Amino acid sequence: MRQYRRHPASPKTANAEGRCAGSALVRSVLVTGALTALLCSGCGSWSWGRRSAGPAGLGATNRQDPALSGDGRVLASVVERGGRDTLLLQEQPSGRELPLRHLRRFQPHRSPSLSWNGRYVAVLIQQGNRRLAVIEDRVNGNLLRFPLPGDQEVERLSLAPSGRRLALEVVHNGINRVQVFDLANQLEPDLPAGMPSGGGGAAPPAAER
Amino acid sequence: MALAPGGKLLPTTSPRPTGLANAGIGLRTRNLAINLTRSLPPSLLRRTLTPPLLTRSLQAALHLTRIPTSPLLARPLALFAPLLLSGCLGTMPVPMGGLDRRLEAIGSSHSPALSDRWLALIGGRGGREQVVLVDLERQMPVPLPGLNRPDGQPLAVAVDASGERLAVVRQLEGRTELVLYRRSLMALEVVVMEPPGVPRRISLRADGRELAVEVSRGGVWQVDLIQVP
Repeated sequence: MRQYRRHPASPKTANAEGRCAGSALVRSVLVTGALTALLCSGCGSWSWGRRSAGPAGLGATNRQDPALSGDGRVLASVVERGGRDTLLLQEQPSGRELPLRHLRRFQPHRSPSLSWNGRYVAVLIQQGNRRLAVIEDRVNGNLLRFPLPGDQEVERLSLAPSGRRLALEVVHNGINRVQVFDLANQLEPDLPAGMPSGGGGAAPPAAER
Repeated sequence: MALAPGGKLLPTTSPRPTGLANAGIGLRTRNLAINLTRSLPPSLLRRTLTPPLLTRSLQAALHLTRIPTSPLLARPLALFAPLLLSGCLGTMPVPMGGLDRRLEAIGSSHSPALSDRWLALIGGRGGREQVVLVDLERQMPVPLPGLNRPDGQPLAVAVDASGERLAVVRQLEGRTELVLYRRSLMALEVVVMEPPGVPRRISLRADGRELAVEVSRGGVWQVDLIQVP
């Protein structure tokens, strides 16, 4: 097993090597290198670029349940707003909040999942005493609902990047099971730009037009 | 049953829906609703179902009245009345049949992560859980040599669109860690949390080049975005 974090050479090692070289030029190069390494060590890793997802909004401290769109340009997460777990959709890397038509209600929200361009937002909502999987289409504003039989409760979900399938984790008689549903006849595919989508898949969301 | 020309009732078979494709209604729920309603006496239905609840199409579906029909109109009415009824009942999804049986064989399963061809999940029997990657085209699990350990407990999993990279949060020897598995190399790499924190849920971009990680730091949940080299 290989660990990705790279540890830069210490200044002590650099000085020792500098004495062996016996040259002022070599010494200065090594010292510069050691200083650079020392500065970079504060970043933690050279291989893995890291950044925070940014502020979660006014008054929100916790941010949970992250989900990236297939192209990485949209981030969904769940933040606390007014004491309720609420879906937050943000453009990346700007952090600009993207509007949602239906999903400002029916909290608490959990387990969001996005299609390739972020056209479809799948999430679990609360409606009365039932948790329900829904998909909001950000292009035409439609909301697709997936009610389950009364003796089943949905725990988590995952939407395929194209929007063609939906996986639900369902609890029935105390046993968790994953089930996959075919949405090919329900949703237009949301494919990477340039791929034939069969209509509108790669179109920019209505909120951005 | 359907209305024949002249108002005579004739037996018919309902159009059989095929899962989600059928105008957003599950077969079981729709038939249950219609059969329950049909089991009531027509006189009672006439008294309780009043306009606007009792539309002409509903009347036709429940055979409460003889609405004027022609040979051309009778069949479409019989076909579409159940579909009109279904609009009140909502969508009842039906899982993919063959795949559902395969997943049932795994035992209990949770934390699904779906890419278009691949389904990653955590599953197992008797409390021994492991990461499972299912090829949805072949509807078969694929081997993941070097990923699952008998002393490790996977907590969350994500997979990229090609099924090449899997990100896994697992508990091992009393600590929670995030690892990245490359299937073609059968190689496992630890992703260190910087600043230190405890990872929980994860999401992988479709090309596998970026991770979104839910991390607990000092009692606060944050989301880190990590570029994968």
